[in-house]
Amino acid sequence: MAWRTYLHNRFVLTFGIIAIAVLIWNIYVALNDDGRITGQVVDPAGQPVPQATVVLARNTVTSVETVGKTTTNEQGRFTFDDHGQFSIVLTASKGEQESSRRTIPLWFRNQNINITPPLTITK
Amino acid sequence: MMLRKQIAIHALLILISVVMLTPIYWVVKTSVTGENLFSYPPTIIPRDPNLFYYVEAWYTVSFVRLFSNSLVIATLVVVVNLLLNAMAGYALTKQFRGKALVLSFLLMSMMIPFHATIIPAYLLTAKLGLLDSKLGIALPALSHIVCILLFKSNFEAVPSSLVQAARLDGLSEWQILTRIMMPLSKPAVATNIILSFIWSWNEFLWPLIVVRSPDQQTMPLGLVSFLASFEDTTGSLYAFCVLVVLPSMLVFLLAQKDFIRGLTSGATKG
Amino acid sequence: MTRLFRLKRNRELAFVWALLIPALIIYLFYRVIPLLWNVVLSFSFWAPGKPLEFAGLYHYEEMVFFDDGFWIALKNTGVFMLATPVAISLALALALLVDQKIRGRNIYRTLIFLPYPMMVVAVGIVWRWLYNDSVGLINYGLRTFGIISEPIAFLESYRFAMISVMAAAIWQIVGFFMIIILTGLQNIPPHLHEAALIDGARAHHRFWRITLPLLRPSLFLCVILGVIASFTSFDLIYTMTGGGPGRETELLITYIYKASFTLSQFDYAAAMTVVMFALFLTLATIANRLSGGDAGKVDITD
Repeated sequence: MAWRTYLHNRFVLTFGIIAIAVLIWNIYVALNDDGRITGQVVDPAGQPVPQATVVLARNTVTSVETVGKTTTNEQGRFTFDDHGQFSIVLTASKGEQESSRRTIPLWFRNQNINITPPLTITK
Repeated sequence: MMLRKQIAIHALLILISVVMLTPIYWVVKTSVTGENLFSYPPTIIPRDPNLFYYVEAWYTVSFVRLFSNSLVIATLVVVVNLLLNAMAGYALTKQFRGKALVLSFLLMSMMIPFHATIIPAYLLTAKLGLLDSKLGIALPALSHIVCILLFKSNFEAVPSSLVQAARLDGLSEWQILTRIMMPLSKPAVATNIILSFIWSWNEFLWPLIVVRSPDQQTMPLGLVSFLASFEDTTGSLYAFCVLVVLPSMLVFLLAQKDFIRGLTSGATKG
Repeated sequence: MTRLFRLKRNRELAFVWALLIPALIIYLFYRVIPLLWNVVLSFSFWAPGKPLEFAGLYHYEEMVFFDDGFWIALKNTGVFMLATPVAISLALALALLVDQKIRGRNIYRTLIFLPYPMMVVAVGIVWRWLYNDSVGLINYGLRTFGIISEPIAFLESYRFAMISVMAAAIWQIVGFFMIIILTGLQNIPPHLHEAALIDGARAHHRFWRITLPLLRPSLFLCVILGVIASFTSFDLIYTMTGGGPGRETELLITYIYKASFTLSQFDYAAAMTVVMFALFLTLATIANRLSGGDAGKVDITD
């Protein structure tokens, strides 16, 4: 059978495998690109902090640019939807207290992500 | 051979290979860590490598557009090359009046480096209205003389009894070319595909001259404009470099025998 | 009968030309006509949208007597050409090494050849990075081994810029030269060496008397390719130095590019192209003569 010999060609094999990998990756991306960030804000003792402000930002060449803002609920949890970034910067604050800035590179734009460990705010 | 001499040669060759591969290693290392972008001294072994610079490069330039532009042009160049070179190569296996003239015309054209024709080639392409188009970028590369000569010698090696038999079976000349000659000249076909792909993929000066709008940019142009806007301040430049080089490396490694044969059969790019 | 025969022959002839013409058109329009057009432009005053006027030798006089840039570019191109003998000697040594009967020699060949198919633009960026003055690998190596105490900005220094670019060019092309020489080595009939061995010739005698003379066509093919490279190394200069510092690494091809596509002096640039092509032809012919007429010979015997 002629098609069998074509299939065993190393070009066909290599590029076929690449094509399949790209396809699988794209399916994975399509299923996980709602841009949902979920996470929690805690104090140094590990207790959830409600009503904390969480700022979502992104790194540009020269500075950090704010993209969105939200507050945590009773359990100290927060969510962002459709963030549209491929690398995010998160900071939480409440009153005078602030967490350190956390930069999280993502694998693709608008990737769903659950932030672990939680953001910790200190004096 | 003496064992000691063997070991000495191996040691020398390993040393040379290391030297040759160091630049490639260094760039790949920077692209997966970015650690010595601002820090000195650099580390030799990558520390916690990651692919995030690749993600950044992917989104900072419109990678898909650059890639597809380059791929469309390369595909056009490869397909047309195969067709034109095989046709011309087959014609040159025949005896006809003016053959010597055609051959000397081709050899003369081979001595003209493309770089010595860029100004009129640009003006000509402008006259044709093909500036800033993929066809305009592909046009000068649509045939390579080296590959014509390669096809010619491959076709001449096909036993003439086979051709006679085919003729008696009532095959037309065109059918002889496509059904007898081409399947029997796989090395020439492979060499032609690889050479024209790699040359088209790596070409920089001509697209630089012809392309105006970002829409038509090819990979090397994208790389150069990336370099111009970010200098060497980000690891994604090197990630981009790796991504640009990868396709031609892959094609080369898959087909190095044909590639090297094509280049050494008296090949000069021009 | 004869008419039928002639008809058949005409049809065959038409078929042959139909196969040839597409390829010939490409070469006519993108090699031969541009070359002639260059010559015409070089003797004229012309700018886009203006009529062509005869200029005689104006551009050539300008080039020879008034344009320092041209002479600098010409000198630099000559200097850049010196990379060729270096690359060829290295390649010869490498070819002799990987021609030995040792295990894994194909792997070594591939590794040494690997830089050649890389995109030159990327090669330029890679080497910029290696030459970086504050964090580059080369400065790091030199400082670690105590060869220099202060970092050197190789590509910005008048002393080192040209040599640095040449080193990158050699790195890329040496594997290609090695493969060419290797092909030449393998074409030397083994019985010549055996005969010399029986005669008791020493290794270096065999090298100078047998190997080297028989390698002449391969070596001169490398010379021609090196000459071509020095006239066409646009990509490397463009990405590594842009012709700087000052005009220290300006080659003819980059100078022509600037004159035509940034300054729009197409007529003047065409004159320089004509000179460049004439130089190339002269050098290629000399190399070809020296090699016994075999350099870069393509088998076109009928």
